[in-house]
Amino acid sequence: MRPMPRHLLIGLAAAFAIGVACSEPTAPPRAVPGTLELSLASPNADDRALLAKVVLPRGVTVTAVTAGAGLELFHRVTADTVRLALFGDLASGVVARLEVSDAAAAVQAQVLEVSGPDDRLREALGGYALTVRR
Amino acid sequence: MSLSRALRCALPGALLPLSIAAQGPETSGTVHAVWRDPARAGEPATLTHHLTLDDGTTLRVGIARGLAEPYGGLDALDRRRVRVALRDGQVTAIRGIDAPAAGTLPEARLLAGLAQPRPYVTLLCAFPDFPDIRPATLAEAERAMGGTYPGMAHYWDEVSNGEISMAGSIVRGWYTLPQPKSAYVGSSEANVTLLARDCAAAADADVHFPDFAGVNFVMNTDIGCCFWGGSGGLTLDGGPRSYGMTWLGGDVMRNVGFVAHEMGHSLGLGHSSGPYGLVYDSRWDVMSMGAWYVTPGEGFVIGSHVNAYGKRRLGWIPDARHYEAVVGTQTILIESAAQPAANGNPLMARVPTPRFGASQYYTLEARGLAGYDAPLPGAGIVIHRVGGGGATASNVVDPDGNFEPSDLGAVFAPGEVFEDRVNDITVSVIERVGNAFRVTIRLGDHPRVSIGVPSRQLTATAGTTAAIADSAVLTVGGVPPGTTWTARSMFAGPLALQTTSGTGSGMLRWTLQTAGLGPGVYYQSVRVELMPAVFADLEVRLQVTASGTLVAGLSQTALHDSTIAGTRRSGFTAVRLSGPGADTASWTVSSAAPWITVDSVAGRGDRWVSYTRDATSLAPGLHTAQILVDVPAASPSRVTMYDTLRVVARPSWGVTARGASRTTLAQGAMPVRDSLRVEISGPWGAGGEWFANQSTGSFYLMPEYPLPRGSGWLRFTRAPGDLAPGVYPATIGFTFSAAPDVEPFAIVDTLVVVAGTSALKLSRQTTRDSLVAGTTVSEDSVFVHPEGPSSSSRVWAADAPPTRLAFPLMGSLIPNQRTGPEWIRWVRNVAGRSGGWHVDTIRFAFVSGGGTGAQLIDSLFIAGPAAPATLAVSASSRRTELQAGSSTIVADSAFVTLGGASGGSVGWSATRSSTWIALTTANGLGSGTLRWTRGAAGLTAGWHVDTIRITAAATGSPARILDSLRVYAPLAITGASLRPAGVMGAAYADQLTSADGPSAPVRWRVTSGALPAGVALDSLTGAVAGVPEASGSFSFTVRVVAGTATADRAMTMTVTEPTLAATAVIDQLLGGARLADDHQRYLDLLGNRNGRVDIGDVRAWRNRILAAAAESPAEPPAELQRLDTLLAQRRAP
Repeated sequence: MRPMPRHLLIGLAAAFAIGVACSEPTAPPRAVPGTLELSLASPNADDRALLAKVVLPRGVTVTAVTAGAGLELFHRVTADTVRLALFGDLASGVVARLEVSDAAAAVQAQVLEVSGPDDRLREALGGYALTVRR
Repeated sequence: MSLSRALRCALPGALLPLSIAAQGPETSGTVHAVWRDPARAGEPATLTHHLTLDDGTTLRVGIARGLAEPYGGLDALDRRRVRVALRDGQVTAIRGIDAPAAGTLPEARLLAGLAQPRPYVTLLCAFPDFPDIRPATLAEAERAMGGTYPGMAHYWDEVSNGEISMAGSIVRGWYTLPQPKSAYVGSSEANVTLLARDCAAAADADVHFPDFAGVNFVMNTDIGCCFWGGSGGLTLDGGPRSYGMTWLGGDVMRNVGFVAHEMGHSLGLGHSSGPYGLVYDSRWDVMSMGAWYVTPGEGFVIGSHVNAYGKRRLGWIPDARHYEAVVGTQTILIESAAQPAANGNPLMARVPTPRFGASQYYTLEARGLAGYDAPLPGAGIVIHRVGGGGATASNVVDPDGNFEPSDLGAVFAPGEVFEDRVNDITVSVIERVGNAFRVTIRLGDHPRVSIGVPSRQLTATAGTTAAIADSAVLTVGGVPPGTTWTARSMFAGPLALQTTSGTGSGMLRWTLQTAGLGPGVYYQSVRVELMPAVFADLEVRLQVTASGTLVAGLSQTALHDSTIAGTRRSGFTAVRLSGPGADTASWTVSSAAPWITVDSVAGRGDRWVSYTRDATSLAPGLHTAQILVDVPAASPSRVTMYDTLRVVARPSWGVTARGASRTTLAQGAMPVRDSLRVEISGPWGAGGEWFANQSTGSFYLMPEYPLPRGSGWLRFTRAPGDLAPGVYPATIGFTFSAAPDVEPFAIVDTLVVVAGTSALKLSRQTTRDSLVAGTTVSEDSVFVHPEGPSSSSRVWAADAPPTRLAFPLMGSLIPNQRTGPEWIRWVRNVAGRSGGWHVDTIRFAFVSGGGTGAQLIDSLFIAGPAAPATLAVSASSRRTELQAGSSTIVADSAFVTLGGASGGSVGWSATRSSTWIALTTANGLGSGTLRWTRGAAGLTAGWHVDTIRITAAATGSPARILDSLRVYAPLAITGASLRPAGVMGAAYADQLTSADGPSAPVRWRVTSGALPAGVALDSLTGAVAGVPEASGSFSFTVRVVAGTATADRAMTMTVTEPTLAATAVIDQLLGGARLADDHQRYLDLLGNRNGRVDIGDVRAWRNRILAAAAESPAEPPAELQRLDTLLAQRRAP
């Protein structure tokens, strides 16, 4: 029996190595459901209503939305957006919580309208910010 | 050729260059006057002034009339180089006036008797955004401007009696302007400086401008509101240089009378007019009504001659053909103003009016005889009053006072007499002799003073030192022996009076100090005053010519001035160098007086030198100083200016005004004249000259010549024009000529404009003429003035039987239609009419927009072949209305005309059938008025008709008037008091209705209570409409008015709020389905009312629901229940 040529041995070893790699792929990280807290920063102390928008990455779903303490909340979920209307004495701090399918997802929140006690809209929203905390 | 130095143009109005302030309070340049002639009658003509600086910059400036008075008035400043103080675009002082620019009018006056070539170049320029409009070809424009009738060269040759010639005039174009029309033309102004600059630059390659005396700028479309004429500066082909200028547009080459009018301004003429405060109403002068006669055949529209006042001003009536009336009786022949025979007869007579003032007089001239005067309405002597304070300097004397100065009433034919009892003047027209009229003038004795030869021209060579002595014969009369007269030089200069006072007739002597005078023309004026308002003026013109060596001189070598203690006042002179090296010779200026500060201490060549006299530390009294100008290269090397300043203590003074200071006029009403009594105390109360100016356009001061002295009357006109209802204060400022630096005193006059109804007003309601059968021309006119809102832009039309009266087409106006206040003229068709009376009615009505019309009865009596008596009545039907049961009586009348030669002796009588008509004048002899009344007593509602029959013997069929009476039930508001309910935020519509009442248009209004906000009642239709902005119950009272009848009704309207589904509201807010528009409006009205639904609106709606729930906890609103449900759903995980 003739010994196997050296270059064939190298080719077989490479083919084996490739075969092992294809049959056992590495698994991606798993999405972990969790709660996102929306925290409001306001330049005014007498805000009474807030309209906001939260944009979620594709594939991330919202399972529940709850209001912050003492606030009344309405929301509407579309494909990748949640719109929220909050009524009550809004102070800086947590104003709503979102239960989402992936708590690590990159989420953007934006203040759309704010009204004061006289129902007039704040003319400038520059000092407002909605922060997402996990 | 190209622009050597581009003109920088100032924008009209208040946008004056700030650089003026940087130039300091004084500047020098050439004054250019521009007249603005609006196309619409009723708008005032305005005179604006521009100042062209040495670098070609042109500024628009204001010059008060009083400031120019010492220099001969505003007219005398035109095209004159001046040094002025400027503040905010307003000339506050005239510091000096120089020789006239070359080729301008003062020279024309001095050279009277010599035919002067005054060629014009006419430039045709097109706006690039109207490329296809060419109202005239080059050949047509050359025809209009040419030397055959009625071309402008031909016209001015006849009007000036050959004194000027426009031979050599040319027309060039069409050129395209570089900018669109909007860059040049606004709604009420045009930037004439920019138009001149760009149009001239476009033609520069084809035209050498110094070859011409004037430039006509003709655009291919209208140029806004107006045409303009006057003067302006151009820097093309060397300069800046002054030219006569006109700015015209559209179809003006056919309406050449307008060209003549503006060219008249460019020659230096102002306006003339009738005596009625209007400007464009006199056919006796092209400078009033420019275009009114249509030439047969070619159809050019032209006007007549310039009046004698204007011709004399321009030197076109020489001394040899000018007659000055003297005290006593004299008979002269006045030759035709047009195409006069070369027989030496006067072309005009001047009759002084001593009781009106020394500068006022009458002119007499023979008009309507030949040439361009032939179309005038009649031949005879026409009289103008000059300086009488009308709208213009010369006003036609119109004895019949019919508001028509252009008819035969203004013509004094043989046998007619003009009498002025105030001035003791009688003018009798004796007879016509060929193309002249024999006239007897009687002038009563009066205080008078005159100077034998009131205008002197002297010459000297620069560098001479000898004084020139001169004298004139002074004639004094009409005063007791021993009455003293005084003489004074009117402004600073080389003239020194040797005689300053005297008694009786004698010699007036003066000298002209030539030492130190540079080359140029020096105008001096002396006033000899016998008593207030009785004076004579002497004008002396000294021309200093250059010599063969370098000679230094000044424009004035002595300045006598006064100022108030504690102030600073500037002085000036100009260095004038002549001879070799004059352009570059250097000089220095100095003064040893500590209170003198020289502004420019060194320079080269000819320049103005200004200095400041500081009186802050000077005691009252006379102070003298020398201003030394050293020119090393000249001989003599030093010239001296002697400055004498009188410092007077600050006076105390005051002005009070008595008379109407608050006047109420209806919107668009005719202008109203008024006057204020001005009482002046303090140092000028006894005779200080003053003038007034005003701040707003609703108030026009009448010019006063000469300037008032001491206490006197201020005359003015208030014209509401198109002002909206409101209060318009006008500040009238008073300035004293003797002390212009004193802070002016001001009073406030208030014009209250109240809402007016639209109506046409006529200057007269009847017109009549009489003529002999066979005469072919009979015409008349009336002034029509729309009153009420936007009166100046309301279009109205005249209507008359077309076979009997015709309204000649004037220019491009629509036949029979006019806009705003306007004269309308008509021609009576005389051909084929028989003898007797012919009566027509001309009706005037607004073309659109409603308003009350007017009518005029026009009568023509033809004395001629007898015709059978005819019977006619001025109306064929009449109608009126009355309320049932009313005791009111309505009177009416109609004119019964008995025509024919025998008509005057034929009797007539009238009858009727019904008892509701009572004939109050039922018969008469000859033409007369039939009168009757109607009453509604006993009549039921509905129409009642009867015929009034008028019969007269031997006139054939009777005339009839169908008289109708409508009897109506009282006016009432119909429909329910509880009006349909509305919903907040939703459109609401309701219709109020009325019944019965007079047939006048009804008007609705709410008299008490109020409709919901957002809902309104249409006063014309009774419609109630809008979007309710609040809920609740609203009570109000409505009134309907028809004529004099009214009816009231109390009404109620409720407004409810809509019921909205909470899910729908929240969905709208969160970007879901949108609510109906009504509901969106409702939410927004509840909330912040910013026009859309937002978080604030939803919060307001939510709080409203919660509040309602709190009020009725047992029965929460349905919305709340639904909201709770929704909340529960939303909160669910």
